[in-house]
Amino acid sequence: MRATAGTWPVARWGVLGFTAIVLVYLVIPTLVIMPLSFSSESFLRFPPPGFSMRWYEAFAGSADYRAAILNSIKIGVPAASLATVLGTLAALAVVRGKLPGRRLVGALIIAPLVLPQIILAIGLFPVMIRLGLIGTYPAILLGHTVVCMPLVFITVSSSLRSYAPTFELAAMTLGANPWNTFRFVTLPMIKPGVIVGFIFAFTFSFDELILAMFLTSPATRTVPRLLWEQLNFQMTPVIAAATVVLLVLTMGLLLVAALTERHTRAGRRTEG
Amino acid sequence: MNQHLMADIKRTAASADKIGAIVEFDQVAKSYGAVCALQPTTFQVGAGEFFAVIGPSGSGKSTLLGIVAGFVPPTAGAIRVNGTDVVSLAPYKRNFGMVFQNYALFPHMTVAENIAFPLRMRGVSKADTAERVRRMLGMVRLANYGERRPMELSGGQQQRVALARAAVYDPLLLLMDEPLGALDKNLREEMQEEIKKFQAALGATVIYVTHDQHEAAFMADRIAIMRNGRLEQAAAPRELYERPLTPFVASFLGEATLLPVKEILSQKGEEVVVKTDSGLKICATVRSIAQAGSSICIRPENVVLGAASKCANSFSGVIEEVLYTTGSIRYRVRLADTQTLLTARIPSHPDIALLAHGERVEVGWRRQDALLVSGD
Repeated sequence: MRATAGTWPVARWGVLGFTAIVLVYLVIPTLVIMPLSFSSESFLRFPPPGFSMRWYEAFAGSADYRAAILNSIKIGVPAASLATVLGTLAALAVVRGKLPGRRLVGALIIAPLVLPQIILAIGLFPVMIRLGLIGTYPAILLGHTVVCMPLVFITVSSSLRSYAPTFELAAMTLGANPWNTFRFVTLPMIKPGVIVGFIFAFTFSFDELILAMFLTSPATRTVPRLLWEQLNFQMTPVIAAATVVLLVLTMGLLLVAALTERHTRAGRRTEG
Repeated sequence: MNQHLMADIKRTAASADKIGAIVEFDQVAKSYGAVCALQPTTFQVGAGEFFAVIGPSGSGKSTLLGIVAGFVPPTAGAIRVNGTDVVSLAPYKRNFGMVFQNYALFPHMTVAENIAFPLRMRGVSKADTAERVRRMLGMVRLANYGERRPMELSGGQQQRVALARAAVYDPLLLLMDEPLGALDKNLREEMQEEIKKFQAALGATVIYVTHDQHEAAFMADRIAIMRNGRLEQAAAPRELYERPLTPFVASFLGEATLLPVKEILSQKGEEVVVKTDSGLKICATVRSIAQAGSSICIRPENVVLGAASKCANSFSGVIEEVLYTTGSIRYRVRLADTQTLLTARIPSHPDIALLAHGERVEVGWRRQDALLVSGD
């Protein structure tokens, strides 16, 4: 594919143009929300008739949003932490372990990310009711852990695959037991993958709507769920302002993730 | 937590004097299912000995090293280090040092931190660690490189750091897996001498795996030649070269013309007369009882060109190939039986005229230079 695009300029321009169109269609609608959030009018209308910061003020002053943001953090941080621990352990087992059927296990771990979340939500809903957890923090926290774990699993797996296990063997000959080998050698080597995985997991949890709709209650309501509910009742630009804040936060975190990855890749290159 | 490390393997009284361990391999074997990676192997490495293991890839030399290091559990046998069987010990309890082909220096630690790592794992005090790291850096001539990252160093320097790291805790045994494999030729030769000096200074026992026969011959006190998961012969380099036990050993270490033997015509003590597959009658020397299915081994430098009638074996032949290599000329001579292609190497000198391709020539060799070796 790459060879074709490289040798034939026509193909290369075609691919480039296609990419540009996809980006325009994907990104532009997202960006439309930005001018809307500065609208002076009380309806979501494009283009906005005038400029004002009142919706940001409204957003900042809203107790509902404050509670929802707090909830999103209360759920996102522990869910991402749990997913990071479990995803890292799973990656170690699948990439470095010798368990039979490793490919199948890897595929199963990634499944919650690939399958539509609605399926997981429908499955989790009765389970959480049965456990008496529905609407509580543990319910949504566990639900998010399940969908976030594959993200960590993927980033940590690729970190582990980027270097030969000779480092671990060397550590062992030097007198490091398995725990010390992990702590002083493996973990520092896969640290970028773990950090990026955690950021992905947190942003995913922070933006997730479907599981939140099934598993949270008004008391544990997250930002996406609040936005959804508000869209059903009122169409004020507060929603736009809230969305912009979310967008900036998410983009910022993803930027950090991208920089972390790029930094390590540059480091590895000099090393080779 | 690490006090037991040292206690796990008893050091002999002599080792306090920085003499490496005695390592005994007793019927050590490894198979993966039906595939045999290492046949039952028995040999001993002496205290402070530099022991090289060579062989083609897949010959079992890496398996052997993996078993010693503790990465590969053997299917059978024992490895005794100063009399203690280490087979059931985890790698981190064996107290061996290992140098890897790609050095395996931890990229997230400085050079000094890398060397300090094994001491840290053993709970050595900070002051003591700093002192030993400093001494080690001096020993490998990298005194000012402690704060650098491994990736900032050249290949040869990284190699020296790896050596220092593997030796800083006075391991009972140093294992080296193709440690010079990634270096270019000149640097490799320099490092060979350096490693030899380093080993002598430490008095460590070394097991050194390489595929480079010249490196092994230059560095090792003794060499083990492996083939198809089997130890063919273990001996001093000179003995291996001059008295190979098998045709494989003869051809793997140095160059040799091997002539398959069809029939033993007579044997009297060490003197034997044989007929080759191609029908040549050759007077040869044998160290043991002559067997059918053996070969005659002739080293190229022992072949006489020209006035060869004085030799016990003398034949006429035709020059088929002439090759000049620095300092010597290498000829390939087709003997009159038309099947045998003999390799001869004579020192080059400005006065010596080069023989031409297709020229007729008398070739010969002494009885004691034709060695009868048994086996396939």
